Amino acid sequence: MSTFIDRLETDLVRACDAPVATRRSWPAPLQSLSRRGRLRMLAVLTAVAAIATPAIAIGVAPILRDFFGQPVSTTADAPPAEQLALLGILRDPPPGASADPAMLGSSILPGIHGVRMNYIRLLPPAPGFPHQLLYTATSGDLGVGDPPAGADPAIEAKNLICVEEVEASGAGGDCTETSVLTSGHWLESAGLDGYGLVPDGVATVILRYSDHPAQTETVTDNTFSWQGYPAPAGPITGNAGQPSPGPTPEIPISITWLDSNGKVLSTHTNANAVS
Amino acid sequence: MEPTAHDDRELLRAARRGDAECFGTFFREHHRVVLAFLARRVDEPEVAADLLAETFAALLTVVRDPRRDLPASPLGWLLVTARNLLIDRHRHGMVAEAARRRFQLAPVALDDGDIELIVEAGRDDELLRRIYELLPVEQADALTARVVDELDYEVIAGRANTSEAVIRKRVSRALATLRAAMGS
Repeated sequence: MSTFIDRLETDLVRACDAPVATRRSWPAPLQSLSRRGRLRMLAVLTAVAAIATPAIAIGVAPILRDFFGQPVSTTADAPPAEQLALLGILRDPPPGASADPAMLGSSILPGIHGVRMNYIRLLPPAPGFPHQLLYTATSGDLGVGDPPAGADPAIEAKNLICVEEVEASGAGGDCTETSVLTSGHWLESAGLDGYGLVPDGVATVILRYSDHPAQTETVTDNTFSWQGYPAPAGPITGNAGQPSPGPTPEIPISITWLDSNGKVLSTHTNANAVS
Repeated sequence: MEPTAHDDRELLRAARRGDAECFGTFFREHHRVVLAFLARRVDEPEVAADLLAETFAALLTVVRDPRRDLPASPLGWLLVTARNLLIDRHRHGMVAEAARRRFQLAPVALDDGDIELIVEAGRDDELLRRIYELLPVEQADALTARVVDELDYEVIAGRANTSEAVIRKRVSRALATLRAAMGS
């Protein structure tokens, strides 16, 4: 009798053996259509793409590719005013370093469209995050996970803010809507290290945890970082609603923003960290 | 004879050249340690199984892309990727499935025997042995005490008769070593 390990191995070997072209799945929004419907939809999409081509700088070198090697569309347009107002690092000239788009290589998250080529920034390095790039994109498919039966798994989001760790082979990085930045939840973690993005005006952040003293970190070019600390005893599990307690050690339960005068601007609670 | 990073890379190179069975061999060599790593950290066997599948599918995306370098230390790459996927799962409340969708892998369905297998994997000492193969002993000691046994730095430092700062650096370096293994 086979185990799930046997079945997974069989699936992986089959996937490894198959030509890439036949492995490419339909985009999620097309999965529920019949074959004829898919072809009709593809024809429509092709026509739309042809019309939209002048607005997209397809010919800009280098051609960016996503984690799976698929070309990613680009644009020479500027980010929306809202993002430029929030992130000084995006404005021209940037306070930090601009980055050659080639540095993005093939590390872009799948489903991202319209990378703004003139607004790619090298973020200040931090332990655990030595080569992070910030870029924005016109849209992206953020649909992941298991939607309810019959629901469309794709969630097309507009005007994304993305950070990619360009040396990690596809495992680091995130793209979110602008609202995530203003909500105080733009936090990345890797191992015991953390990295955060905040809007202009935030000079210092205070990270609070349920089980040990708070950490105060200085903001540089819209970013801050923090490092490991004594984690609580118990398993590193803990997700809202699950019986086993214990926050993930990298994620604070709240973050407070302060301006350059030390005045508290706002405090944001992290729902994913269990106190 | 235990597989080395060199052997692992040979298996992945062969898989890239078209010998799919080599990826199966690689999977058989390493799925236990990755599953042990994950099963210690999640309460639900289904989540551990999903993360295991996504981790190996993510590696397969690298293997299938000839423009990308293969990881210098494939096992280190797997462990760091598994941990990152686990953290992402905590952040987003769901397991990423992009790589599995890419390869149209069947959803993981578990029976009672599978669940028992995953629970047992969480008690398996194979993980510790592999970590010590990958890292200098001081780093491996610190990493296993902190990440596997989940002790706080004060306790680890007391046991090692050194300072917390030293232990933090060892843990950080151990993670950096594993992460660097992914870089290439």
